[in-house]
Amino acid sequence: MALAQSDDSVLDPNATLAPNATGQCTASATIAGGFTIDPYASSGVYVVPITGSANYTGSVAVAEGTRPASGKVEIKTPPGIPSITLDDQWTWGPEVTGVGKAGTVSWELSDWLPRDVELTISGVHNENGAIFCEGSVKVSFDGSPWDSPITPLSLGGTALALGGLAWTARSKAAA
Amino acid sequence: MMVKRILGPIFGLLLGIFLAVDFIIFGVIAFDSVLVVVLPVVGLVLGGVLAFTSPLGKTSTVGTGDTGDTIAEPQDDSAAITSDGA
Repeated sequence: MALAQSDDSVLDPNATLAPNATGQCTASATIAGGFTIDPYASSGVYVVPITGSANYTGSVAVAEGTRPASGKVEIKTPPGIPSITLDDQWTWGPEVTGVGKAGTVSWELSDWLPRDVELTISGVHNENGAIFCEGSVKVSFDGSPWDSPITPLSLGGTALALGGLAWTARSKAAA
Repeated sequence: MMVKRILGPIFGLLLGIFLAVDFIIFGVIAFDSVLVVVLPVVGLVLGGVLAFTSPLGKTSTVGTGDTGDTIAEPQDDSAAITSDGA
């Protein structure tokens, strides 16, 4: 599937990176008024609006019928911190009947959310307990780091913490 | 002194957390990087070490000595000698 680019150039040039998906599945999401996210086309950074909607579709190349299968779509987090699962709609199993899913998802995220931060969204589908297909894409929210109040707060917190640490590190004679 | 030893690790932890957030926001490290977890731990340890060793503001005593003590000791000694001699 070709990568489409909107008039607002919301698709990062790095989106031409090699695909990062394996297995006999399809998975894609078309951002309203924008472009299509497809891990089988590119693993690059897709810049999405902080408020929007998308039509998504996914399928697995197996015979339809009730069978042991499971899967999930999640946002990758640092090691030791549980991954963020979007909601129950994005996890399935332990028994599955269908072989595909499609629908519309919309979002309206907080202005506090840091922009231009790359998030890795990964998906995996298991059939009979074994990985059938998996893939990931990188997504960031449109805007600059200064669009979120988190940025000045974090920088201020860094300065205060650094000052506090310097104070505690001063010897009694110097104080 | 005790207050500093308690606050040191806390400030170190906060510094590590805020630095991790800064680095994520400005793209220095990835959101799912292990450094997001490591930096606060390093800050906690560093804060503890700095609070207990208090390395900032210390002056070297090699060759210079403490002039206050140098003056005080002869005064004490002379007072003792005078007392003994009396």
